Amino acid sequence: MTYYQNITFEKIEVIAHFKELDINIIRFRWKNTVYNVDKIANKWKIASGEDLTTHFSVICEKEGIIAELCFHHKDFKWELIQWDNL
Amino acid sequence: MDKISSSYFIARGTNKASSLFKRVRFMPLYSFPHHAEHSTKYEKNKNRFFIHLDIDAFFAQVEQRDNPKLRGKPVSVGGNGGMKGICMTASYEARACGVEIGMSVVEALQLCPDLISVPSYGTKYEAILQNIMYHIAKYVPDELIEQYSIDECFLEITGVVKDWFSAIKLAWEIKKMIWNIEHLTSSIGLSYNKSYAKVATKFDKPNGLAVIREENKDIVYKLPVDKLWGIGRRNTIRMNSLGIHTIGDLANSNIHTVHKEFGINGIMFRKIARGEDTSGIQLKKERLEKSFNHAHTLTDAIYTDSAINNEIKRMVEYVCRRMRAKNFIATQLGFFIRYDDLGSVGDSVKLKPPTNDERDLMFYCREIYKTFPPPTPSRKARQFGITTFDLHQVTGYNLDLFKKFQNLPYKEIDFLKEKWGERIIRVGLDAQ
Repeated sequence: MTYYQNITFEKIEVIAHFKELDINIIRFRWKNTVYNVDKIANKWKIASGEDLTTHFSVICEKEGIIAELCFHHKDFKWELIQWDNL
Repeated sequence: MDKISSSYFIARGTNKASSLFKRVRFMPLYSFPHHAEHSTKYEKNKNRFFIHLDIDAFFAQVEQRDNPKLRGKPVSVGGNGGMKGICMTASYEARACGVEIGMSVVEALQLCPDLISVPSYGTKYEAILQNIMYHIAKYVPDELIEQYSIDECFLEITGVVKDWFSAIKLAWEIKKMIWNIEHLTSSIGLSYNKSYAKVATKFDKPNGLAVIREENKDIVYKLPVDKLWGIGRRNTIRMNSLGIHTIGDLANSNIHTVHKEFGINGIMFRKIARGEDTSGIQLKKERLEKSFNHAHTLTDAIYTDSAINNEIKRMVEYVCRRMRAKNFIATQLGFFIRYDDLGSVGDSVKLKPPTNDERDLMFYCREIYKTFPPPTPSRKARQFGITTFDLHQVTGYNLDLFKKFQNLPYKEIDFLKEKWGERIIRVGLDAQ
């Protein structure tokens, strides 16, 4: 079996809690569906020049998906990079 | 939220963290202890402590950790997640089916039909690794850490611990720390020299800690000779022909026999087998560049003139920027293309005058390309490579009266690229 990820790079709306330098994602909306984030499995930052992005690997158990979200620090925008069914 | 990890900053091309970044990206390709660095005074090197740390199936373990769907299943990382490419690493479930590192995905799928091949996510692994290295540096000084590969490192803890008890305690603490910060398991080998530490790691994999002391080195002697660091498939065949099958056989072999067969390496192998490896931590040495090269294999082969031009342009920009960063100009340029039938053509030219200007290199690459059989829809170009050699270091430039191009402010262009990213500014090479 070969595994294909669903790579989308779509803009999404996110409700997140910003505390000092920490970002805690609560829920996000993609294609008119709201996904509640149950767990942030992993988080890492990537910088290219002065463009800094923070990536989150999140698990939404009720909706049954795992997704990678990306926050662009430069313009405060969120992006759904890839997702897969749990 | 269960656990947050890897919130470590990867800076690309910024001055502050470039030295740290280099530790990960530009690892020593082969840090096999060289005879020149070996002290013959073995007795002086007896009471040393080395740790070899190996994160178990690193890439696969990270993917399994982040995606519950992959846990407990045979997973390989590499390629594009499709049928192309090789297995860069495989989970222990996949290894149980016979999947090996370096195997093509197609071959691996034949051995293990349930194998899940996931694409490699380099930046994520780098972030995790940098986070781990940052925390290890809290236990051991930075100059006593040798990054051997992306998931392996050696630590010399001679000055940090006083006896075996405290060495084992430190090793456990490092293991525990990696688990706490990243939820990854690792295997540690602890010994009185580097080579035995590396051998020890394999004793108790995964998630183990093994110790080889001088008193119990007999357990190493029983192992097959290919388990020794530096002895690969071909050397094993040659060793077997000499009647050397185990590490013990090699340790007790006649020094003249191994010297005759393997030269100075034979003496080295014998010393390592006997546990007399006296090499220490090797840090990356600044070396003088002899050539700059870059090759790129495309996922989808191309044949149109514009696509090929773009590919050449991208490579030329990359190589020229690297040359300018180190103040080099090149006298010779090599360029090759590999077609999708695996046939390849290449040629080199002398650059007049020596240059690191991408417009000049683009011109010469195009000139070489014109002499090649042009790619066609039935024979597309799959790989491109460019090499500049015969390098000279420059401190300043003489203006050339007869130069066909105006000088460009490359220093400023490179600075902008470094600050704002690769795509912020490009030289219009297409206009020529």
